[in-house]
Amino acid sequence: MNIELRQISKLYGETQALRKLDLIVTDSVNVLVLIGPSGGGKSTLMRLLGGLESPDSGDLFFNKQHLLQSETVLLQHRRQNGYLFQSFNLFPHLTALENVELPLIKVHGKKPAEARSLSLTALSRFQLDDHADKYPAQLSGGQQQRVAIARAIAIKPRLLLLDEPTSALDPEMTAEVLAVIESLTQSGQQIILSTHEMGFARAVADKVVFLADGKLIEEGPPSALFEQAENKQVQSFFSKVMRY
Amino acid sequence: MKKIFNWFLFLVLAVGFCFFFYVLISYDYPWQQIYPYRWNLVKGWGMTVIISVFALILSSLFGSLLLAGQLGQHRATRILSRSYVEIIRGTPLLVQILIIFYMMADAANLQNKFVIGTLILSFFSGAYLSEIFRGGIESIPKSQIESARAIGLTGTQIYRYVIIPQAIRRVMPAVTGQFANLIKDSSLLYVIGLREFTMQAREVNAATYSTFAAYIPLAVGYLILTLPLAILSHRLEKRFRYEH
Repeated sequence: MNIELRQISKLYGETQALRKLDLIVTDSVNVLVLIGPSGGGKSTLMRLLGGLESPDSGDLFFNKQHLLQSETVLLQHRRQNGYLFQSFNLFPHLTALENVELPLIKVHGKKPAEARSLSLTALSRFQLDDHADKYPAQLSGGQQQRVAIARAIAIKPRLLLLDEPTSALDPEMTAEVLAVIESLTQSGQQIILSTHEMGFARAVADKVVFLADGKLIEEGPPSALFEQAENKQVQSFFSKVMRY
Repeated sequence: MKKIFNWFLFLVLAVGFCFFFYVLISYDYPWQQIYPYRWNLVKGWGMTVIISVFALILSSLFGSLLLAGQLGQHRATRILSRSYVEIIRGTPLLVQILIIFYMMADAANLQNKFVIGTLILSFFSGAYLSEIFRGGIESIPKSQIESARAIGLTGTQIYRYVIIPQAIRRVMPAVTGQFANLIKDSSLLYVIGLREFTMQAREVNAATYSTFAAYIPLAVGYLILTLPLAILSHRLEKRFRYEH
């Protein structure tokens, strides 16, 4: 992926979520992972990268193209990419299959028959064939997230943005969702992931970015960051989360 | 102690009911006097049904307009719709009937009582329905809207495919209840001389001086309409509870 952020700032009321953030991600990076303490700016950065919100100041570039902060451009941007929240991604009044079909038909203009076959393929890729006709309330949290990933993947997104996709899940479900994400990284899908799963981050990331207090504290390949972090704040974060 | 109290309460209620039904049953009803007027009552009942159905359709449209006004962008329409809803909900229907009837009959020179009656009921019920609709729309969690934006739906599409289908399920029990209210409230239209159910019963009473024999069928006639609606409303509520 090719992304550049210049002096990005974002305020929520009194809270400064991002402070003049600069970031360059080059083509060699396929999987970018954002880590850091809660409230450090991960989610905000994800939302800006996903075109769900606009920065108060600064510029975003995707593939050297300036992302204009107009609703039309952002809508177009969202349509090219997949986005997954912590939970409640699916629409409760639609079955798993209908959830996957909806964007294919209404956003990407596919014929119902084609949308159906694409959706079934996406669901079966994550072993969800038996759950196609179930409503979200009938699925476990992990299954819901997998359906949501299937929905995001079915449109063949340029970028897949996963904002703490396992934070609301128990360990078993976390494992099943992480397995799905890992299989996606192996198939070459470009992914930006924010997570608290340090082991997983280390395993799949090409580049890791540590965010805290709305600033980029440290960045680098996972081996460098996890083993020889230079910054005290990063070191103390790792020593806390890796202790047990 | 609580058990004794419960039994006592049960006893009081049971005796009360028995007494009530005894009085109802042991009363010597002059049915033979009412009999010649039976078709008047049936006609009145039919009129009540028709006027309620028309008023329900009209008030749904009217309620939707008021809702659009309240949720809309323009400050003026927001204030107007809001004021309308508060004025209607803050005044008795009887007062509204008297004011609107004389206003329409005199100022607008509208003489058809059926039309006036339907309009008055629709104006009244529309205010309540718009509040029910608003509750339904506002009950859809923000996460749904976020999710819909993330898959690239436009604002209109979000309403059409995500918010409204879910809101409709949620408001159906309340709308059914409102329809039952509408049927009961239509009884007040006798004051403008509309020959609906209550008016017919009053006329029968005036002609035969047999109050109970005229008004008990009136109560039963309303119950025939409202009880099935109450049951339907409960069923819809239950179904909604299981779905989520």
